[in-house]
Amino acid sequence: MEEVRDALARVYARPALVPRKGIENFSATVNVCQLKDMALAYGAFGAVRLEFPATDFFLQILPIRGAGELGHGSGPVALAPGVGAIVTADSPFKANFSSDYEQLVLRIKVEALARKLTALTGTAINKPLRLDVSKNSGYAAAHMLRGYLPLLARTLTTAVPPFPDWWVVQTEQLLMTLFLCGYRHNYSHLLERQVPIAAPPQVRRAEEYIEANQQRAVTLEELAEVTGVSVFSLFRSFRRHRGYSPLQFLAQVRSRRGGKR
Amino acid sequence: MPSAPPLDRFPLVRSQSAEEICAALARVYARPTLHVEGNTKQIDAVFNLYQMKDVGLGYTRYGIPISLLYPESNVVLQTLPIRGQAEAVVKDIEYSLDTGCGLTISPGESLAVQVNANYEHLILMMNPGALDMKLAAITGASINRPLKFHPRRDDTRAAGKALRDHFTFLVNAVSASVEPLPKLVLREFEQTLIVMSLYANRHNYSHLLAQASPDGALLQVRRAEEYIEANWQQALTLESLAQVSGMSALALSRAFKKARGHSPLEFATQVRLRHARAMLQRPDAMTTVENVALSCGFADVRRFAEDYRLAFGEHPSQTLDRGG
Repeated sequence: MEEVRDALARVYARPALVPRKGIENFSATVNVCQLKDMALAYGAFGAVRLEFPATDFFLQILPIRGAGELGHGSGPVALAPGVGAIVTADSPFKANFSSDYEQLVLRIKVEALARKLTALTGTAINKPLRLDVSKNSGYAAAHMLRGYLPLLARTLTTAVPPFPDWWVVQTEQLLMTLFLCGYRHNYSHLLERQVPIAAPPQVRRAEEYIEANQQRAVTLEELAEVTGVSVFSLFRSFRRHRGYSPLQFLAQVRSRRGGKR
Repeated sequence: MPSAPPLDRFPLVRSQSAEEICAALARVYARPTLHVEGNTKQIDAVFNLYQMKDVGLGYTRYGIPISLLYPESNVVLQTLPIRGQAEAVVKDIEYSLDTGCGLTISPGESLAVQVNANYEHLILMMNPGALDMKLAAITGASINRPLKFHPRRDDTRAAGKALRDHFTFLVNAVSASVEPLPKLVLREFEQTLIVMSLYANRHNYSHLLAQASPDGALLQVRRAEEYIEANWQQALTLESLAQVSGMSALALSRAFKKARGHSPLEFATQVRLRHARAMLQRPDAMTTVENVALSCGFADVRRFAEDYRLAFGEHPSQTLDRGG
């Protein structure tokens, strides 16, 4: 049990863990595939009660076998194959699993979601993302996300050699888009805007290029070459559509990267 | 028919007329020349197409044995046979098409296919400009020469399987979804299929993509980790690590940060903490927290206790009490 607590503490948070059928029968299997800003995990714990403290991760829980119950802020939620649940950041939760319970869990960092939200909406995210867990299952994207996780688990399991960084980065982008479009939250209205404020292609192209090359200092000359417009005109369109300069965007990307642990 | 064919809510053409079929294909790909193998049975074609911004998902069935000759087009076409057999010729080389054995046709390449009566396939069409843009974003190179794919895609390798599974997943989602999927989700899925196509296919920029992936650096990180694990009792210098890994100290630190999210020295601290924990768990009469800290290279005992607590969630003395 100590090993399991240690392991969970490393990848998520240290839980209180109580086996319901006695300590001597306790056995657990946890596999974790760490991507960049998220991780996909498989877990089977036998009949246990788990209690996790609040963390700065969002969780998408997808039961694949057995039954369970999840207790957090808004009361208990049943867990069963095909019936997933989400855990929001900053919210402690309890879970009760049947002895044959198995699950997949997607763990997403709060900052990563905020970053993605900024990219999707084109607006700065000042207030923290708050998910409305009470009404969350009716959306097509959420349904798609739950269907997608088993596929992703299979894909990652068979990936020899491991997929390159740029493949993983795109997969994370897809997961975050499904998550943000699938569940109701305090920024949903911005995602559903009929006419998103479309930045001109040179701005998006420059941002894409900066994000893709965040490990090194991108020069203005490169940006001009990649976007096919002059440095001056690139500055102007950044200012108009983003409210900051390409260099400020570059600095942001790099400082986020530097601050990432 | 057991169930509706894929993408059935998005018909492009359903026809028994060769002319109608050719006209429809000309609109979305290129106008083919049809040749029906010497029998009198009527062609009975079903073409479905779900077109997104840069990527189209399609389904095709002809209903009779038929051969088609497509001239050059201006899109990238990937086929994924799901039933029956076919033969194809691309650039004078013959390929057989079976389930799980698809082809990738680049713009500017003509294609001749001969299919049997029950042949069906899914198609993935991509705007080459979108592929170029993604390629430029990943590699940082400017794409001057057009992207050319090798026609044979290996759908049995992990990369090919991933593309095939993601592609069929989206086809099924689009086919089944009663409400339209959010635009943002479709956009993101397009990007995903573009990225996966660049990885699953061999092409004239594959070598640049291979450099973009840090596999080489990962090996050096692994080598440095092995060195740290073997020499955890010695004072560690970045210089010695640079030497064993064959990278500069700065490059190694960066590679570590990128691959593992922490620095080599942080890794070394974790290794020493693990050894300390092992000692505390199997104590003898002489074991104290201070002794363990010192023998594992932690000069500052309070700092050690704090790092230990962060790593394992308890104070070293608690581990010692339990072990003793």
